[in-house]
Amino acid sequence: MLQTIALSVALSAGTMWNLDASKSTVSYHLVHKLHQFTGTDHGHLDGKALMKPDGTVQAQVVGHVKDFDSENSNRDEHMMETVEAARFPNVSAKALVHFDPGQASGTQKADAKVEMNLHGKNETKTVPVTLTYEGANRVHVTSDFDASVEGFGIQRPQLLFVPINDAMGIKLDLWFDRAQ
Amino acid sequence: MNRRLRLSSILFRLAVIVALLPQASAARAQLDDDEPAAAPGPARVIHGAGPAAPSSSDDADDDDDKIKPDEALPAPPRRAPVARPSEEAPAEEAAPPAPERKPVRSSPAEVEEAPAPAPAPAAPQFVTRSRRVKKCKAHHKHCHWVTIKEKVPAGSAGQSVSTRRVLASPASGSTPAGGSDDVIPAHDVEGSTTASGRPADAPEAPSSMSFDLVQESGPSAADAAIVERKVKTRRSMLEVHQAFGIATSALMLGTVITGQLNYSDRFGGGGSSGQFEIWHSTLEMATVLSFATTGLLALFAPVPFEKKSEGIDSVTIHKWSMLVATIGMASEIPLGIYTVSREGYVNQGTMAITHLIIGYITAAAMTTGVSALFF
Repeated sequence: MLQTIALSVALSAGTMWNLDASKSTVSYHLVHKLHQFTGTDHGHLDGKALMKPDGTVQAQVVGHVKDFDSENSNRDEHMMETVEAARFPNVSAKALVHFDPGQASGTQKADAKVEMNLHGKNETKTVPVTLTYEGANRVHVTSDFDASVEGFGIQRPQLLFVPINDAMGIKLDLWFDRAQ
Repeated sequence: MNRRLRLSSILFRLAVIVALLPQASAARAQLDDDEPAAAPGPARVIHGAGPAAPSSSDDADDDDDKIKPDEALPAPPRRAPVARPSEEAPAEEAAPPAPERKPVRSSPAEVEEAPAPAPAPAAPQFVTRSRRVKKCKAHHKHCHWVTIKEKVPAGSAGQSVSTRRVLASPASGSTPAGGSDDVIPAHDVEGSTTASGRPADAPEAPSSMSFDLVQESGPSAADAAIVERKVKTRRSMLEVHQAFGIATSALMLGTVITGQLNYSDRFGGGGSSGQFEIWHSTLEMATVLSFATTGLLALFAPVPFEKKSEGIDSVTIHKWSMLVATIGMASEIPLGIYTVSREGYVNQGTMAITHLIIGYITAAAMTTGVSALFF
């Protein structure tokens, strides 16, 4: 009885989608005068999305700072120091976006309101998001936008006493499966 | 004699205690009266206050200094008033047992009345909620944000903070003058938000980010503090390492140049003047010292985070290159000394060219190690 009630409440609230951590990636791209590099989180993300009947989607993705790999262990270590990973071990993003609820296939583009939390600070931006249905129970979400390193209260790291650029490119490549 | 002295000492102490007792009780009564009335208002008046400090000889002269009835007292050191249960809104009294929460001091005049909650369940459940508030000292000159955790009834998780907390209005002036545990002005409760971050007075809009679909976890404050200390130490050491590394590279360049000049002078038909020998020796010594300092700074820097080892990266190349450079430098010192000692012998030229070649290999290893960091 209780299960039935819970299920009906859940259905009326919307459809839950779980992040496929094995395929999803989040990466940052930073530029220094001498070189540029990309740090990516492969397979360690956690996330969910709730699609409401009116097409409003609430999504949240959480990753650990230590899981980002820039193919240079010292740089990753330095990055963890810079973002104070001991105090703020997580990086997370919440997104709110409206898609056409009637279209359950193909590709949709929309502007999402994204609230990113890094280094204990929140930054809210409106970013373009592309959603592609890969079948009835699987969606692929991508987004590419810039954020400010100092906007998160992070002191820009330096190499040979030259700091990196403030603009940080962020790329989301997320796969969600409809919860059973 | 001693007993007399002790007796008189005891009597003196008794006399002091008897003299001070009325003062102490009067002060206590005054404090009790003060507690509920910290809101600014007319100067406080004491009627029939306890006697002022009794002084037998100065009574006549000190009449003006005494506290007279109906005379305003100078402002006492202000204590932030504590909200009493009896002064809170009646609705709060009817509520279930108050959950544990950070006490916020305020005058009763500033207590916001809470709406009457729904009838309490028999066993109320609580949820822990984090919130950021600004704590200020000395009239907001020194403010900082702190995160506090409080338990709230599960049913009121989305309820506005401002309706459930006792707030101090900044206009009321109840902020203590210089207290250490201060009133949190209502405007400084970050946006007076709900548990999920929504402004208290705003209706829940569809654009609100007040949802949590994924649980986030973090380390304990103690663990974080330990790691943070290590991080700071490591960062300082590696910054100095970097500076010494640059200096070492410059010194190494000088050593190689003077070494080549010295070889050319001695064995390349340069007249064997020996004019570069002192420069080469000095620069070599400085290079070795600087190189050793640089290496030790890196070796002894604490490692706050677990090292990830995923194949060969630029740091691996840096480390291996520096190992080759270390071996090269370690062999150059005795070889150089030995070469100098072979003055007049046939094999001095061979030793010198070996020394020169190892020197170039060492310099190349160092260059590779430094360059690796740029990619």
